[in-house]
Amino acid sequence: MGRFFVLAVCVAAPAVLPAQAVPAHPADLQFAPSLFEPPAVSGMRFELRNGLPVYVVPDRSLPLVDIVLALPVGDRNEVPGEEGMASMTAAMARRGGAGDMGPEELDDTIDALGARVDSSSSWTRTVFVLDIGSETLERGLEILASIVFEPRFDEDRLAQARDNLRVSLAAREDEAYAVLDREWQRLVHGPASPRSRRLTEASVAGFERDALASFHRRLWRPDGAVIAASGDVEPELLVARLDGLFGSWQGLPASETDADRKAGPPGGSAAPEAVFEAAAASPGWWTVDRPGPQASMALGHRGAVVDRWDAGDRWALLLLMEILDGPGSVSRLRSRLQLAEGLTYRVVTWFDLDVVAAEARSERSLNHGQGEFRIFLETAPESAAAAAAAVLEELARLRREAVPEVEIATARRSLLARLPLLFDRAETIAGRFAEDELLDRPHEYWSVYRGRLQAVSAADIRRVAQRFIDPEGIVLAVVGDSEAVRAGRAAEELRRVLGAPRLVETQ
Amino acid sequence: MRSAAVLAVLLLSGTATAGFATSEPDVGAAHFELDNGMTFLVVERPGRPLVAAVVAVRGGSASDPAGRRGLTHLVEHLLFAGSRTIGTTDWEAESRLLSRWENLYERSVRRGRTDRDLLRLEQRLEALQQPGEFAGVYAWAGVVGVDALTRHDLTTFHALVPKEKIELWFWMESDRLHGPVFRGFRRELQVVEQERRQRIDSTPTGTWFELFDAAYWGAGHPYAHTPGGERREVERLLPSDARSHFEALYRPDRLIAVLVGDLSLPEARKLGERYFGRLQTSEGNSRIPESKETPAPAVGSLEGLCACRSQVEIRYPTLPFAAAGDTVVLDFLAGLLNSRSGRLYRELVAGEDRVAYAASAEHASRRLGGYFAVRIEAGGGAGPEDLTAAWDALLDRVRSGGVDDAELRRVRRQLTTDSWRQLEQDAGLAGRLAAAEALGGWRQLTMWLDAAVSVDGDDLQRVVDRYLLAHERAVLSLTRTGG
Repeated sequence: MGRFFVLAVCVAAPAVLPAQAVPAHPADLQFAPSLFEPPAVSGMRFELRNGLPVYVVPDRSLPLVDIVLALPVGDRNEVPGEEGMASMTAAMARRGGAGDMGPEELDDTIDALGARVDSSSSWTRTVFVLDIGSETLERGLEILASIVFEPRFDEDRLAQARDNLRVSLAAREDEAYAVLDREWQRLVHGPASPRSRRLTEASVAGFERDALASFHRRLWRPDGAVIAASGDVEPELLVARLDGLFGSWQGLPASETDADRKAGPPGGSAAPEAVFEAAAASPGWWTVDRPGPQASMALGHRGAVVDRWDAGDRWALLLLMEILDGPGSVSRLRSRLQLAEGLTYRVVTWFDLDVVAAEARSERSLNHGQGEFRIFLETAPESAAAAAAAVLEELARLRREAVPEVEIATARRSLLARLPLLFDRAETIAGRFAEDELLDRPHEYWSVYRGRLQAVSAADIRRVAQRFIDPEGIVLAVVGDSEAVRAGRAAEELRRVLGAPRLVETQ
Repeated sequence: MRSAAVLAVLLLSGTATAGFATSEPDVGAAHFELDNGMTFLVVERPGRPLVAAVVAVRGGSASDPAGRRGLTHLVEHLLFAGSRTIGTTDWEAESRLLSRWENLYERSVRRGRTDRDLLRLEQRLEALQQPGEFAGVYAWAGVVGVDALTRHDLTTFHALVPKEKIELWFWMESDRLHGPVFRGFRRELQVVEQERRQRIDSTPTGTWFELFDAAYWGAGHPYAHTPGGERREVERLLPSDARSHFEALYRPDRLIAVLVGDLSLPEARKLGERYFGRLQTSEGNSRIPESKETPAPAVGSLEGLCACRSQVEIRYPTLPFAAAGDTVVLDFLAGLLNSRSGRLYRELVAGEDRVAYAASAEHASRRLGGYFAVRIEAGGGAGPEDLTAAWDALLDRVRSGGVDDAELRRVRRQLTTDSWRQLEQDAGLAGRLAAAEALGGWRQLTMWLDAAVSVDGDDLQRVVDRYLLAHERAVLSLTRTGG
């Protein structure tokens, strides 16, 4: 009882203040420490007969279930001439009918269930999503399996998709951002890089039923795939059902994949991972002339590679990027470009730091990552040079000077504050752990996250700034009214740093 | 951050997905009011690490005063500049300089040029100001997702707050409403201008849709301008305009707070009373005039060339938002037309002619009026007239052939599961509750679904015959440049 009494006094102490008293400053508020710890994975991971991992996180509060199947197949698996094949195969698996259902019947069936079924592909993965009421889950799972294993790639829907892609190709210059994205990537990765490949008339013409079926047969395999499930489910029952549908999935043996490749469409077909020589980047200041009231720009260079998720430099780089351009207007780029100078409405920054084991790295001939360090912003053409010069100055300052402790502490808190967002619902928890599996990221990553960030010092941050930010390799591309950009404020200063602006010959 | 939905983001409309099941999962919001009239909605969700918190104001760009279009949006931006406590190193010294600065600034706007005294004074002010402190306090405490949105009928301020620190949110939000200081005024005008360029001027269709809105609603209608306002009026806005508009619009009885997360109702009430209870309606302040008779929407067409896919938007005037009657039937009709098994995709996108690249329908119902819109982007070589003709033919088939039971069942099922999905995310739920409360009460969400799942074929025929009339519509037709 005595202990209870003491506790009660502590809890009640603030009530000594008048009922309506408002502390003068937020610093006067007292908070309990944050109790958030990422959930442990134990009990969530299952395996099907074929080894396919399944993460299940039940949540019975709503009669809904989310199932996500991800395969480690994407644009990077395409070979020249096949641009867009990964995305097209994924999209048409959903749209082109499956099993004994033609496209219309498949659409009708999914919609009548009130379900959402989507499939799409990105640079590294192909993802299928089933979002459905729990009482119709069984039917939904059958449909999902049918889309994965028995896509029909209906000829008529394919022709429609090709027509639509041709319309998109004709419109590819419409949006300044699309032009910037394409040209900046070409300058940064080199024209031969898979990152620089874009859809062409020829690749669209190649989206024939047989070509998609071949890509599907060769590359959609269970090795490296993962399933995340969440919502109104009984884990054991669900896993048993998934095992019935996906547990015997083996994919083609390697020998048949090779044979199939030899017999494949002209130009060959994708190796499981397309190997390429990193092409030279084209550092400097580039412009694409495009009259209008606004200029878009991207500034940066290729991303980088470390050999493990827990590499010290990785943690320091996370903090460095938060200091440079974390969300909220406390970061350096936002406080300078938005708050101090009113130059832009939005800055977007990311730094891809790929994790590639040292032995794998030499095989791929990669010194740099395939990703990017990119700072994107829009501003008036006459302010573009000033904005770019300000960004370069901030990058130089990070390499030159130690970041003050209070700034590091704010960045650390801000990063840690977003940690709960990554685990805030059953769906995100299952997805996060499944993503670990896809990325080969140990689940322990999350349990050491807080401690590792806390151990990063100002010296570490300066070191990674010097290691990963390369002033000599900076590519600046500006899409906008070139004359106004070149004559803008601080254009001379920018010339001294990056050299004279050169006009991009757009393709 | 501080984004404005410059192209209309519509409340509870459009794809007809808003709503909550009444029978099974219930939103479970608790409601209370403070003595000053401020409304609170609380949804307790134990175990969530973050509380989704929204402060909403019953009023958006439709409340802009005549000649000051864009003022509500600017005030939303300025509310991030802090207060007498936040954003300053010495409020007394700053306030003296700030009033001198305002006089000089007003003079410079009248004369149309910036004089040197103003710039010198700004330098002195900068030494006393900490424009990033508001964001900094939140960042330090781990508050994320700090953002704001100005819509036609509503302005909202969003945050995701670690549950242990929810009192900070009460402190910060009530503080900026209690005594905001609109510092950095001139810089914020620049940021607003940048936002406008990014959202409207730099997009191929942005200016056309802005013109279409203006033409459709008609001069003087509160919805005729986008929330970002008119550039020429925005650049002449003064700090005194912002202050008087703030006092009129942000009265406590126009405020709504929504909290979704691990926070108990008694705790929310206690903190609400302590912090927001101090907000008072200023004596003698101006009021937001209630809209008078608004002009009837225009009939006719607007045609132009655009570096975009050829496309049309066809608008039919309908009804203001309601959770009953024909408004809901029109929402249902949008559901019938949308999705892959809906009429638009089946007949215009995937049909034999493949006249469309994409097509969608939306019932946009706001406080003062609504419209039913169909947007169609051309596939292949189709021009706007082909798209309009294809839509007319589709509509004729709905009129003559009716709607079959399978279609009705499909839409009811989709609306029901969509309503569950909208309960999944705390931040989304908080925003929707705020919007529904501003439009007449959060329970409308539940009522809306009840009404929607009862819609039948006769209802649909009735609204098609009554509202989707060719002689009452307005059409925006854009032809691809050089096409």
